[in-house]
Amino acid sequence: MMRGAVIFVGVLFSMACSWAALIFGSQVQLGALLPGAIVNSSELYPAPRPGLAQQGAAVYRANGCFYCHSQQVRQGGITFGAVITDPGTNTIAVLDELVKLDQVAGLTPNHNKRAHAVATLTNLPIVLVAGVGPDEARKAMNPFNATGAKTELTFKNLGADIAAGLGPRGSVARDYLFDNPPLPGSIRIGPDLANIGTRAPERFAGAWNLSAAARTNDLQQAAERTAWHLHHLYNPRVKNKSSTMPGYPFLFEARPMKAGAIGSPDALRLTGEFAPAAGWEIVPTGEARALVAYLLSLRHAASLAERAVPRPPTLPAPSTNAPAAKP
Amino acid sequence: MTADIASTSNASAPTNADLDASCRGPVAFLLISASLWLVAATVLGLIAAWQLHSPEFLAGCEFLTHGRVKPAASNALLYGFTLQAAFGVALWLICRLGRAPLSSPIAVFLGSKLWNVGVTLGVAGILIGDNSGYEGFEMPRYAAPLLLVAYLLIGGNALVTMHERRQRGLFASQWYLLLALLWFPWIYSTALWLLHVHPVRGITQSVVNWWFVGNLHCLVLVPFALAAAHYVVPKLTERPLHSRDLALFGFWTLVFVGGWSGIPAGAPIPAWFITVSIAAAALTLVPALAVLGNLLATWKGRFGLVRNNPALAFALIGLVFFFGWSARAALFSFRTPAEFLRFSNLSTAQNQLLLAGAVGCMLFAAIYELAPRLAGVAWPCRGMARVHFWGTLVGTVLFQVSLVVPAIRGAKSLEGAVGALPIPVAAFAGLLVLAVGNLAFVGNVCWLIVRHTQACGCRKSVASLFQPAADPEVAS
Repeated sequence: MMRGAVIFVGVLFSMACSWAALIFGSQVQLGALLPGAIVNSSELYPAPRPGLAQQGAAVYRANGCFYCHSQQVRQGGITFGAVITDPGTNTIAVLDELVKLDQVAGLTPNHNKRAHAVATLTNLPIVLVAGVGPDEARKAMNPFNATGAKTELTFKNLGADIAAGLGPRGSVARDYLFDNPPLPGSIRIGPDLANIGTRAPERFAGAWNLSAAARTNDLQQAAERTAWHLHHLYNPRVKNKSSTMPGYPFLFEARPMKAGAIGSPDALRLTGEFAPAAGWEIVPTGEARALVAYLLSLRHAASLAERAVPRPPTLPAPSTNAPAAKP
Repeated sequence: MTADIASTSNASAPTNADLDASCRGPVAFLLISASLWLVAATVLGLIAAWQLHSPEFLAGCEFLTHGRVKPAASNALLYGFTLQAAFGVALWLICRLGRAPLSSPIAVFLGSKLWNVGVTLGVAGILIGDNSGYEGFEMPRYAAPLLLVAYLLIGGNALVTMHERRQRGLFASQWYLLLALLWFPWIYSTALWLLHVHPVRGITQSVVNWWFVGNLHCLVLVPFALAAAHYVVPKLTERPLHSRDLALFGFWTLVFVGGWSGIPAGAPIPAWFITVSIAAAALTLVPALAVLGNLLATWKGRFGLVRNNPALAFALIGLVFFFGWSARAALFSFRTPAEFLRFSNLSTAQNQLLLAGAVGCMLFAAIYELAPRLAGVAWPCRGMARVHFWGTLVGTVLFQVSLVVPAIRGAKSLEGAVGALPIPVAAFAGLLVLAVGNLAFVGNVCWLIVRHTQACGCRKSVASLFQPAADPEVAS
């Protein structure tokens, strides 16, 4: 016999379970999340966005950018490896151990093992093992630690997104802490933007040609990136002929120029088929500037305890009389 | 209250005509508004799809940029058409199956009116740039609460009417209706509270959003559709439901499993959420198979009826689409396929198969059955019903194939990093065929109204559509 009350109670019970687990459970586990320390640094991550970028988030949301761009790098897992960063002074013992290893980089059966090991000693860091679990990596390090050589555990973040260069690590809950609302997106008709602030988008969105000066100068670089994004927003075909992204001309203002006057320094430099009518210039509005500030603030790249970013092994300072390299 | 029911149940049982008369106004209003929203959603959807093919189309117009038209179309379809049509069908089924007149037609009518005001505000809000940013729950904060108030009027009345039923035993259709009617206010108020009123922090907003959409699909839209199918199939094949036990099994497994799905694989949250959702998506195949098997066994030997009956034809393809949707949801929720397909057009295809395919078709089946009874005249044009059927079938299949095949092929070459390829022209053609079918349906509905008007005489008919029925019990 199926009664209304039975259905009501059963449905209420099921609803309560699902709610308690997924909604209440997510609050218990993630609701009190705070900014965390960046690995090997005293800085906290994430920091709230600066005001202009915050306004840009609203422009991004209002125009539905998240229907074509995700903001989420996915990570499959991690593999570990081990390297020697400093063979130390007990070279003979290190060589003995190296000879025991078959997989030392580049060794073929025809090589004289010992001669090859000697050659690798000068080519730091020496990769002992890669693409294995943490226990195996530690096991490979142990005999070298006994010789007094310095070894380091290395790791590599895996996954199609990371292999494609979308970011150095997978996105985690902490990355979205100050996003209201978070916009992880559900479809990639355009590229992922989780790291657009750090990543040169040439692989997906046209050439990113920073001038030589810009590469060495932060301010210049920021200006060039901003200009690139502004032109791309006005009409993506300016930067990439085959782009399928719509332009957003309504984020720009067409202004008449007085004859002989110098135009606005902010005006877009458009040429050829994209050039505005003679006597007119295209100037970005505050919304366009805010949107670009927001895009450049997107960076899921800080190394965190829950998802670290691999860093190059620390090599010993060269023991010559040459001056130390600039940090 | 109980005493009242006991006393009224002794009175002479209402005839079908009485029951139809009691809910005619509100149900007609809901179904006609749903049809109009279907037109709006179709037009907006076609614009959005063409923009994917030719990006400069209407790009200069702030209100019609792709990122605004796309959510406007999906909200018009989901809240304007699907849910509204589901409410209409639900009210009619509740009156019919419970042998009780609609409790308060005026309240339902007000609720429906308010629902439409809410959806209009919401869609307009999305177009002027007030998108809330939650996919599937995009309506801005000034529109979303109206829908809850409107729902309390409509759904509350549906529940009261169900409570006042004279036919005490519950049919399978009624189980599903009760499930959907109870589940919707709970998830909607949760989403409203935790996203708009008192937003939770960071990514937990997305968890609430995914949970809401997963529940809306699995335990609101699907039950509404299955309620329609469980009415239409036994009724029109003139066979009792094959197995009540199997129906019970399908119902309760759906109730206990459906509420856990929706969290996508690869989401930046602890892995157990995702594992739970994968298990739920895989297990949802169990109720899907139970329902499909039960209804097809009921149908067995009488499939020929499909040829002359649009209601049965829609029920059949609706069930097939439903099975396709749940099978694909189960398959692609696993981590490995999801890594390559999570951000592809497959998710667009899944939504389309559920909303326009499975749920849409089963609701159309019920509408083809109930509208002529409500209007008191037969469907005026068989040809248009046929165009609607073939448009829906061909359009959906074309759209699915043209999105899914490139998605699976592209997944290999691009390794899932760039998910979606440009939408192929074939997919747009599929939407166009679907649009022709939908317009034929709306045309048929308009013609039905004209017929109804002619049959009753103009003034009287308008009055009869929008007045509470002349049922003394209701009036008192």
